[in-house]
Amino acid sequence: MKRVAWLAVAAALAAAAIAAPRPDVAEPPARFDTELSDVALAFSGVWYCTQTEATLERDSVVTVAAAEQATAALTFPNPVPGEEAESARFTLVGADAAEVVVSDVALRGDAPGLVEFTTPRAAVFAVTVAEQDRNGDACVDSVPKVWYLAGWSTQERETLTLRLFNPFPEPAKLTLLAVSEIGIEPVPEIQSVTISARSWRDFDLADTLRFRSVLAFTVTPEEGLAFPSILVSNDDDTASWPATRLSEIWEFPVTRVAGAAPNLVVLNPAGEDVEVTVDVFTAEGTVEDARTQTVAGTSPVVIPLEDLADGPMGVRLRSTQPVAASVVAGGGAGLAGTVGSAEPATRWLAPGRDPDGGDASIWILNTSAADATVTLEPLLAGAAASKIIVPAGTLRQFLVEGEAPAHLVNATSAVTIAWSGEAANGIVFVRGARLG
Amino acid sequence: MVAVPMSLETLLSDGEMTASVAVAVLAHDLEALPGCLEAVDRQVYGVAARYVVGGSDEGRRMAVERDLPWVPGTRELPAALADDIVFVWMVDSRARPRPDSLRSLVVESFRVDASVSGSKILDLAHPDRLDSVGMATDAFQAPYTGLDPDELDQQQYEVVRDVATVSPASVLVRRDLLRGLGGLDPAMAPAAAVTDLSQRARLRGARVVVVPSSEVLYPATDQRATIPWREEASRLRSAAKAYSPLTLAWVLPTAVLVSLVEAVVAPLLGRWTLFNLARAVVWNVAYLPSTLRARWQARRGRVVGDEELFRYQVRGSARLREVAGDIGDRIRERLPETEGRGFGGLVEVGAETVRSPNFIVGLVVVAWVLLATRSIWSGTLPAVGFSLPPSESALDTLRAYAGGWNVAGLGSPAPLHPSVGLVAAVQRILFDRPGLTAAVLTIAALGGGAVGMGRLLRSWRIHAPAAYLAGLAYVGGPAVQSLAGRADWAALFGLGLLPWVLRVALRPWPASLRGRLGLVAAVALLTGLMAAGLPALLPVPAAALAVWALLGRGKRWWAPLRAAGGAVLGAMLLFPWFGVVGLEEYLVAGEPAWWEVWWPMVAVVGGTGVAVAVGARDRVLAALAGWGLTLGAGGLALARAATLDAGRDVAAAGMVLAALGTGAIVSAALEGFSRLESLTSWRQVLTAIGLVGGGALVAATLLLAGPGRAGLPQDEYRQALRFTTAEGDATLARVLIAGPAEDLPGESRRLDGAAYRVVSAPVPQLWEARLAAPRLADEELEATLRSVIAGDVARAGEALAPFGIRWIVILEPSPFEDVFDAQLDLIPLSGLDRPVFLSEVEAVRAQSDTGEVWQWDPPDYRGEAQPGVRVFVAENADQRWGPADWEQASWGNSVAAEQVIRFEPHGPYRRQALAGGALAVFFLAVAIWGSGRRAR
Repeated sequence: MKRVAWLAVAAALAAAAIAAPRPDVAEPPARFDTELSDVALAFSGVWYCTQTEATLERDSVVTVAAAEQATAALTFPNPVPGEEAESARFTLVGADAAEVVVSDVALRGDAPGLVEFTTPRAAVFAVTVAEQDRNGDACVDSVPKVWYLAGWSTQERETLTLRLFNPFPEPAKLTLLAVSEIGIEPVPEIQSVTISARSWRDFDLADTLRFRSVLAFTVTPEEGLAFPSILVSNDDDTASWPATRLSEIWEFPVTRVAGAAPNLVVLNPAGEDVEVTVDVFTAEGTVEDARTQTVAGTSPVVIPLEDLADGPMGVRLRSTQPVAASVVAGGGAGLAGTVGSAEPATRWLAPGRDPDGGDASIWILNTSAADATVTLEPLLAGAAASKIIVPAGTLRQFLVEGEAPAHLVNATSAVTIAWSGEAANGIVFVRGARLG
Repeated sequence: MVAVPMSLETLLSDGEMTASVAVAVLAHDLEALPGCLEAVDRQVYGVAARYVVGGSDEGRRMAVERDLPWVPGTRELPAALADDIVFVWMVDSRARPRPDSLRSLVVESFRVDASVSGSKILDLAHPDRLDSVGMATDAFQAPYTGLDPDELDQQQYEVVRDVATVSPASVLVRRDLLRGLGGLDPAMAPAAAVTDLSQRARLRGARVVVVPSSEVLYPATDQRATIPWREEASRLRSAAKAYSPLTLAWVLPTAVLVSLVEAVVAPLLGRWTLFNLARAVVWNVAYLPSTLRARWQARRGRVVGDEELFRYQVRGSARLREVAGDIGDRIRERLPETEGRGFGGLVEVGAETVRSPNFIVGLVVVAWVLLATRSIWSGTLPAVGFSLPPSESALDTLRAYAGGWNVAGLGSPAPLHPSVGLVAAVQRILFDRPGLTAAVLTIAALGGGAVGMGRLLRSWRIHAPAAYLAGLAYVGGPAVQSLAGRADWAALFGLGLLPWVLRVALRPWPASLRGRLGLVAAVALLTGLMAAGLPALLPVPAAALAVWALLGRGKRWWAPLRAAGGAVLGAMLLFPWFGVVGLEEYLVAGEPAWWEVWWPMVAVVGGTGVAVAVGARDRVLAALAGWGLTLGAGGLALARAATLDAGRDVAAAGMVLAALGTGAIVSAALEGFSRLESLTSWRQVLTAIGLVGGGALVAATLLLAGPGRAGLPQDEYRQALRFTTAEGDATLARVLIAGPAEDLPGESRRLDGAAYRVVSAPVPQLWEARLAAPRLADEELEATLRSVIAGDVARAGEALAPFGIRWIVILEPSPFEDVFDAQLDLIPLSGLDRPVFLSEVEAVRAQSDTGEVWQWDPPDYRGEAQPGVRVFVAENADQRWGPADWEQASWGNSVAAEQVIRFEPHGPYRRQALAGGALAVFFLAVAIWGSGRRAR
């Protein structure tokens, strides 16, 4: 009887052990949660400028701006092993901005660099000017898992150079996929590339992929990270813009200045076709569904915008699947290109005066259903702020006056911002920098 | 050579030498004095005079009663002797010389021209057994008889021969020599005094011989009943008197060293000799002037050098030889049915013993333990998980343990885990050698566990083969494979001690108070030491014995109460850690309790247990199997009690309990089969099935033994962190390690589900395994890492440098890899097995504001004293850092630069730790005191 009793006790304990549920142990995450699911890294205090340079003929002006007191450190890595990077450091007092001429820091030709702020509420814009041309765009502050670059053409008298900039101490191994209107372009020399630590490489595609109407790229980091951008040129001017992530919506406040013909370049990296719709915004109002087009899988397309409206216009691209997009305006006064903004916001930083003495404008696109009162605060001591109302569904141009290097833009409704500069040596588009 | 004086020639008669002899009976034992005097009276050789020496007033009274002259002590003896006396025969009052003893001594002394002669000593209780036939000594004056215990007298030593010394029971000395030497040294213990006299005589050229034809009966047990420390002290004094300075230069330090070694080993035999050494040294210091005077007298007029003394000495240490012999006896006693014949005798046991199952099983256990730990005793303890090597300095660790700085992570004043104190104490005893400590503790844990389990089972009359094979199943079975597989090295100590706690608690209650106190102290000490390895085991002995009380046989009801009392007392050894750890906090700490068992193995254990429990006719075996089943199932349930929020240590305790159950089941299975006579009933068939299961479980222990790491996983961190030594002193900075929590050293912290922790370089040490509660620096580090993750920081090297973090190691997979990959000042190191980043920013643990790097001498920091300069110490801020002016610098410490920056110990913790240590020593002393024969 005693044996039965304790056998029963042992059996009960064993049953309890067998029936015990496995604890819910949270597996360590493969990645940390970040604001954007497709972002590999987002440095809210660091900006990477891929197309800056400084020679006797060409020089970049880097505009650093912060919405609050900050210290900014510029670094231009030296690709020569063992050589120290050139750097500069200065303090922005309160909401402030400053211009740094790259040749004052690193007069050695191509000089991609980075700017580190002590605050995330900052932005960097870079414009390169020469006697005959100019180019530029906002610098980049986040690294997607995969980069997408909606590029431009390599037609007659046009060049396209892809730059891959690795500012990190680890070599980057990247896989590149080039696509054009004829499909995937098998280019062995760029399919798998390694970028040394704190260095960059340029790939001139006008030779290898000549006479393409449009080229676009997908850049996948295998090890390490790098920042892709392109520099395009024609007989008149140059333009440059960085790669981006994908989005179903892109807004472009600036598409046309000085008579340049605007085009929208869309890259559909997915295997399936997507349908994209273009909404046009002018000072007068909105033209929704102004153009609808199907973009075949794994291919880019150029959507001409010139016939959609007269004069300045902003556009919104809507897509059934995430795509990459850029605006390129060419002809007339020059060549300019920029990437769009995926999300409207109420606070922005935008460049101010034209660094080369040209005409500068800040473009404000209000795609929302509410009117927006927009305050443009020049980041210069003593300069007075301006206010304009941007009705719902319209575009407004703010002509920049004064010497402020940048503007802090506050709006009562979410808007998107861009900047343009035009001078005798060409035109340049710069995407505004959204402040979280 | 001292010639016989010419005056003695006149004493020759009838062809045989005769001489006038005085007898001095040394009244060491007054009760035995009359018997000795009677034995002297019966001597066939005529005695010229008899004296009673010593014995104080009672001795004098007894001498006067018998009309004998009384001499106060041996110092006065030479002067008391008449001039016509040629020889003095000094006889211990406990000795019973045979009637012809003196005659043989005198005759042979004349014949061989000896000045000091001793008798052959036979055991008074067993006159056929030899106790001494002269003795050699070692260089440290310890006597060595060369006899086996209980060696029979078969006249095998019937030759007069030169010896180093003779037994103090019976010594014949020429009177003139005795006078010249100043007699026996009264400050010395009797045996050492005779050795001393012999040495001094030999320095004068005299012969010292043993005369086997002179037989004296002497109580063998009393021969050792001297005061041990006095013997030790006398030996040191004797060496100091006789040897040349050159010899003394090596003999005295070596003698102390030998005594220390003996002090370490002797407790295994129930002898505590450390205090003897201490008292002996103090005594000699006090007697130094007297020793110097005696040395001057002893060496004045010497005719030979030290080499003459060495001629009659054995190599090595006689005492260590004796200890080794005794250990050999103990081993043989543990191998039942073999005769205890000393360590040397083991070799001579012969084929019969070697073929015996007991001997073979003993050999198997030893071989298994050596096999299972071979890579540890031949190499190093694997550095993985909680299995981390002891720190370099045991003293520093003990200092940290006793209220000092807890160096884990970014530091804390919180007390260290008791296992750290235990390991450091053992390391201190083992000459501060961490590798040796790890090897000894690991072997002791597995070996001690196997033998302890065997001894426990033997107390239930399980035969040795089944008991010790079950011991192997206990320390090498599936439960311990899982336990060790979790790299919980310290938990193995608890495993090794648990069966000893049970065995002692199950002992019969002694009749004497001394015995009872000794038993309680032993249970408390063993329980405390067991819990030091794994505190969650504290209630396990009482619980296991309570189950046995319900199921078992024999007198057993008091055992769980004794174990519970032992747990209460033993817990006091765990202070100061025990005083600050919250019970609930401790029980839920670590990852949830979950033992991923291999169910077929559980089925084998359970099936074996059920087969034996049901099939065994023997009620003890059935109870044992039932006990094992209950413990095994209970341990399994405990180890999987995640739903009860049980934590890591609870799971470990459950595994140990399951191991205990497995051992009990295996022993019952093997023992049941050994008692089987046929296979004709269903019970016998079940028993045979039990054998198969038990055999399989014993065989399964090879899975643990095979890799040779005591079941611990492969070394991870030595290899992973070796690169830190590539550039100078790796200890200057820290390493941030991220990866799966179970792969990180010891405990870790979590950030959004990802584990990380900070360790020292080049390899984390045991005292870093367990992290204290987060403090300022830990919170700041977490905030910094959050900033890095959020992208607010792009120069993580710079951000982590204030914490002294120079390297970042990723044990994949970890989301930290992507985060650090893209940092601007973290250089990935290529060619390594795992992602490793080196900070471009110089990061050190402590640096002065003038830029000097301070050395980490854990737990202190050392550097150059500089007036007006302050040092930033990257440890959690605490005002006890000093000794000079301290200021809090953010989360860290700013201390004035004064050569050594150290943490002022936390007073209460220090006192608690010292009290815990003292209590352990006290328990040990009481346990030894209470375990003597008289106590039983």
